[in-house]
Amino acid sequence: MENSEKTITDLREAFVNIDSNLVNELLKKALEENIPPREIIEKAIRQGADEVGKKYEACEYFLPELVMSGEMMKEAIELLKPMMKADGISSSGKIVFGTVKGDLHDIGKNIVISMLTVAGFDITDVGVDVSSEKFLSEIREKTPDILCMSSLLTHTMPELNLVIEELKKAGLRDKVKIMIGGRPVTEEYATQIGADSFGKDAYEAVEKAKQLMKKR
Amino acid sequence: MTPRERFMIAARLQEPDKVPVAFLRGSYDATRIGLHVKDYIFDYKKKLNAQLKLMERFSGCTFVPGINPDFGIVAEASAFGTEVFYYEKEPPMCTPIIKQIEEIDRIKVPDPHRDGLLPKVLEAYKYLIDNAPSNCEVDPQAIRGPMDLATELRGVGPFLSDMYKHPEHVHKLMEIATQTEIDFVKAMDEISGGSNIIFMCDDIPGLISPKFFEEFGFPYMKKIFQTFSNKLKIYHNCKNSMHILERLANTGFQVFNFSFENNVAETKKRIGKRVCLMGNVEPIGVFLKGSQREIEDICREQIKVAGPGGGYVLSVGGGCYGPDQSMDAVISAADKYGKYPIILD
Repeated sequence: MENSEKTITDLREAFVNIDSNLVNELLKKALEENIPPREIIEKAIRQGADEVGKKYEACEYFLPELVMSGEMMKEAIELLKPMMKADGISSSGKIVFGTVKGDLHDIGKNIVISMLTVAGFDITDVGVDVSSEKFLSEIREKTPDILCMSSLLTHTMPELNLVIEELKKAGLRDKVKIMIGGRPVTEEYATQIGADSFGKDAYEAVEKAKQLMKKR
Repeated sequence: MTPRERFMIAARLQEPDKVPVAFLRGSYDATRIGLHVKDYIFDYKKKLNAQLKLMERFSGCTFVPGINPDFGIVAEASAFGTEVFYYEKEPPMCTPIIKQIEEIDRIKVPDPHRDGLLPKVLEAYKYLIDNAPSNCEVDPQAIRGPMDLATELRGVGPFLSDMYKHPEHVHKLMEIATQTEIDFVKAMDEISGGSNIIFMCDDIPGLISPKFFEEFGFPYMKKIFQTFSNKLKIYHNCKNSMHILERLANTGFQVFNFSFENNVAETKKRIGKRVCLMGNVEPIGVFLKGSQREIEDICREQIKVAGPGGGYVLSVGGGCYGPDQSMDAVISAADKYGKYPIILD
């Protein structure tokens, strides 16, 4: 096996095995071997993310493994970003992401953000307990392709609808696609309030985000 | 036989006259009658009245805990100085205070008589004991499990990745969280003269691997339960725990309020002879949004699987925030289908 192929294979395995020290070492090695960023992202990071996802579905991996692998992959992408632009790799799209007002949960949001970053999206994370005013302000400033909102509590779900209504009043609804998610949220609810999409977990959120970009 | 007596018989793995029904208590006591949750928490008279109202309306079931101080999930975390946020219709929440891992080296076990909301909990507990009707059990407030408290202080995401990156600090934080809960229960016992019940809520074990639970969760949960070995120990976890069922049971609780995500038949098969099972109607799609007929049908199936042999309490496998008719439906199902011996096809 060529050196670079072995480095990529070892790097992918290090991501999957949640070995952050080895990931850092092999990332450095990959760059020293002049492996193109596109190849590192596609064959080590994204394929690694797929394998981690399969282990999670098979109940071999749990939330700590998703959190760790998400963190490592997001850091790797950030490291490679300047080189990606030089390599002609463009962003998959711009996303503003937040948890709605009255809700302080962020673990699910952060995992989804990691996976969306791995998939090539540029994310503005506006945090938790985000008011509709703040969401609108971010949309005006950042002009994202997609607004992602998370609600982990049944009592804060109406905030999802409120943001959409405020966007309509402000004449901004057509400017952005909306995806929602969170434990009590359903596909049915998303349709009911006029969201464009619903992601039941991080992996579905990535696929749905890609589909939304095709409609832009 | 009162609903609570029925519950206690099931908790001893026996068959009462029929399957008991029990619901978790929480800020629903307040929201149901239009009280602002903050008002409910700090006005002890209003709190007692709200809790009594709920019990009067639903006399066919018991509530776990019974009449209790109910400061929500933030009481212990507040003792470390976390900022607490109050909402009109939701339980209070708090934000993590341990931002850098080294800060764990500087935190200390708080004093429940002095720190955060804990003295208020003790004050409320005394008020309830002194003022509740004599036929009402007054229980201590539900405590956080040690992992739950640790994640409130550190943040769920950072805590989970700390297990990989800083295991020694995770153990240190878990030791502090464990001692905090032990001291809190002892302080409540000083007020009551010693309660016969302890109710622990901790979802975090359901989120981690068996290996991580063995290392970071099991010893600490076990220590708390062993410290209070003479109390009836009830444990709530509304996350899927199929991968750690036996390990959880080994920590020493007697009643398990398990998640709707658990397979009820397999849960009964694997640990049903050791612990009383309490659950596990799905809280949102069924309990919150389902029709009375749908709820009764699902309860019937659960009674059929988990009821025979006793040691079963019909309940929701998660938070109980549903309309009155949902609670009526669950109680009705136990009346219709839950008489022992249970013979349902």
